[in-house]
Amino acid sequence: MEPSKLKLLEEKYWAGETDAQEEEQLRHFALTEKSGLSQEFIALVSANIAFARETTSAEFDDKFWNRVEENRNGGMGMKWLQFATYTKYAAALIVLAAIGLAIYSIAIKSDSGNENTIATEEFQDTYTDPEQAFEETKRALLMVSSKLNEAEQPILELKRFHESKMSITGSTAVDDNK
Amino acid sequence: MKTKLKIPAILIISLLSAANAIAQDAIQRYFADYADNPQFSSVVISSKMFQLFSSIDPQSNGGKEFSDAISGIKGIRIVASEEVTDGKVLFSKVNKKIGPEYEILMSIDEKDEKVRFFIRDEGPIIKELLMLVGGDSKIFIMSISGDIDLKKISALSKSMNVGGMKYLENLDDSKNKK
Repeated sequence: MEPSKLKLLEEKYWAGETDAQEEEQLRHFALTEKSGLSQEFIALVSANIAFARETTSAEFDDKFWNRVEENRNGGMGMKWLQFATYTKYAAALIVLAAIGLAIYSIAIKSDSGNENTIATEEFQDTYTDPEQAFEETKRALLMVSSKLNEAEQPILELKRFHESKMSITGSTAVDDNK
Repeated sequence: MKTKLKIPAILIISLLSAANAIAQDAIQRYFADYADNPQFSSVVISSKMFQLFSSIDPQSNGGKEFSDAISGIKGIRIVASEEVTDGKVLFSKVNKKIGPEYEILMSIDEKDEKVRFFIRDEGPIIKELLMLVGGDSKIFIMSISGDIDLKKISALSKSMNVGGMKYLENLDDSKNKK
C-alpha cells in the first residue's frame, strides 16, 4: 500500500472511523512495511501485541493465581487488615477486663474478713486493745438493743390491748348468741 | 480525647464510684464532716478488730448471746456530741441527709429525745443498721455494718436485763476524741 494511503488510513483510525478490516490492515503494515505510519502508531501496535502475548500466555494465569494465593495466606496488606480488625476486639476485651478487675477488687475489699468492710480509706480503729473495743461494741449493741426494745413496748401494749378487745368482743358475741 | 475513648472512660469512672459508694457506710457517705469536727466524738471499730474478738472468752464477756449478736457484724462507726447548740434542729437536718437507699425501721418520739432506726438491706439480709438519736443539746449517730440479725441484737438487752442505757455516758471523750 502506498504510504500516502496508509497515512490517510491512520488518520481515519485516530478519528475512530476505521472498521475491523482496515484496522487489521493497519496492524499488518505496522509490523511489516511501517512506511507512511507514525512512530506513535507503530509503538501502540507493538505494545498491544506484547500485552496480548503476556495475558494469553500460560504463565500469566499461574502468576495471577500465585498472587491471589499469596494474599490469601497473609501478604503484608492482608496481614495489616486482619490486625486492624482484631485490634478493636482486643481493645474491647481490655476495657471489659479492667472494669471486671476494678469491681472484683472493690468487692473483695468490702467482703473479705481480712479487709476493712465499711471503710475504704481513713479507717483507723479508735482502740488498739481488743478488750476495750469489745467493751465499746458491747455498750453500743446493748444501747441499740434497749432502744429497739423501747420501740417495741408500745407495739406490744397495742397488741395486748387488741387481743383483750377481741377476747371481750368475742365473749360478748358468744353471749349475744345465747 | 476521642469520643470512642471517652465512653469507656466515663463507664469505668461511674462504675468505680458506684462500687466505692456501696462499700461506704452512712456516716462516711453523709456525715464525714461531723467525724472531723472537734465538737464531735468519734468511735470506729473495724472488721479487723471484730476478728480479734474471737480471741476473747465470750463467757466472761457477755456470754453466748453476745457472741451470736456480733457474729456477722463487720464494723461499727459512731459520731456523737453533747455540746450542740440546737440538737433537735441538727437531728432534723441529719435525718434529711439520709439517702433513699435507707429505709426507716422504727422511730421513737419522746419529750426530750427522738430516735430513728434506718436499715439498708440487700434482699433479705440487713447490711447496715443506722441509729440516730437527737436531744436538746445532743446528737448521736451510729452505723453498724455487716450481716445484721436484729432479733439477736434485740434479745441482748432482755437477756442481760439492761434498759434505758445512758449511751452518751459510755463515750469516753478523753480517749475517743480524734
